[in-house]
Amino acid sequence: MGEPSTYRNGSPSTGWYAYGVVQAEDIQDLPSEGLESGRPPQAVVEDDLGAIVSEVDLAQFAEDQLEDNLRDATWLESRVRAHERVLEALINDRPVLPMRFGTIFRDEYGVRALLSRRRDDLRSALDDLAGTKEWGVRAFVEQDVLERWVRRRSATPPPPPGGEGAAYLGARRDQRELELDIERASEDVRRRAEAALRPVARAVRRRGAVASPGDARAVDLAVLLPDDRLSELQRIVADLDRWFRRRGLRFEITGPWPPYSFVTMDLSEDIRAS
Amino acid sequence: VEEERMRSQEEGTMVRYDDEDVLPARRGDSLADVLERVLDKGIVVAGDITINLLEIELLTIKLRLLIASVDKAREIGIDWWEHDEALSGGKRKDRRELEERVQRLEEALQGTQGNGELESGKETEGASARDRDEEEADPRDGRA
Repeated sequence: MGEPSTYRNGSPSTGWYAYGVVQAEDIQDLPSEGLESGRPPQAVVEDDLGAIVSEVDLAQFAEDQLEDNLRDATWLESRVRAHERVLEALINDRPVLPMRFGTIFRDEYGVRALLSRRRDDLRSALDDLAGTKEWGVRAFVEQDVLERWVRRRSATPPPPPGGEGAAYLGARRDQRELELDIERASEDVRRRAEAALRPVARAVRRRGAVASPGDARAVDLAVLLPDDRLSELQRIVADLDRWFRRRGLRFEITGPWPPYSFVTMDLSEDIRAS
Repeated sequence: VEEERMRSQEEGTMVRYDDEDVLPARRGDSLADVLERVLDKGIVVAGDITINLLEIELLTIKLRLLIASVDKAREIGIDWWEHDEALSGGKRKDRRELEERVQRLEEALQGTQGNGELESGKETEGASARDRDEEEADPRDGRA
């Protein structure tokens, strides 16, 4: 690992890695472990907001070094999990606006300038999150079971008699129709899941993630849920699972998560514009 | 009404849970679960590796771009970046190195032996396991 000074002459060798933003009154009881050992999370307070940060070695995040580090699954996993652990500890007992992984400020003043510039937006986002947590509700596809269900549902008539060529074309057409039917059925499932969850949720969002093949998710929802409605959520998802399991979809709940999916603020435009 | 119908139809094959009707929540412990959220969502402060504006200096990682070291990302079950156009050129440096390496190997082989030896020749030329993984993992390399 090179000297920090080779990365930028005369600059400090550490920066402030930011995990998230909380209300200034909520900065007590911070988790003791951050991204790097011996550098526990602490709060940088500006007015009534606090950013939870910890010191990190900038050399690791320097452009040339970073690309290698990100390719190193061990390096990436330990940092990403540390980021997540800090936020998970925080969300237990206070609203938190999670930052995306990898946000580093040169110094404390940068953190404070950001908090002060977007104070009103950050505050109101925190107020919106009070008393809620993010949960994931998703359904995985068992392809053959789903296909059987969709075939039954659309009750395709037997193909008309014909030669080999016609049979081939017919089979191709059937396959294509099956795919369309599956897509329609999946969309139907998504809508029903959303409709079932909405009455108990503060908000429901579709997540954009695309799973790898063999792990296909027909449903991938983020639910912002008031803390006192968890058992209702569990009951609803259990119902969905019971209903759809025989149709090739297995539902599950994950969480609680830091409310990543409901905090979509992009503050960089703000910085550029000002 | 619909829900009633769901219930009555499904009663016979009801899946039992420990606590009757409640589906337990699972912590999203897999690395893919965590990465998906941590890298893709949350407050974004800047999309560039370094920006230096006014008195604020930020170092932020354009992770979506950098994680385009495709093999690792796919290994841990992440492939959403494949649908991100901004990433289409993301692996240029690796690809160029790989192409050069393949070309060198091929030239060396042409010079010394017949085509039939290509596979074993490649082994002995010292292409590491990681190089081969990269070739297999990223079909875009082959197209380039």
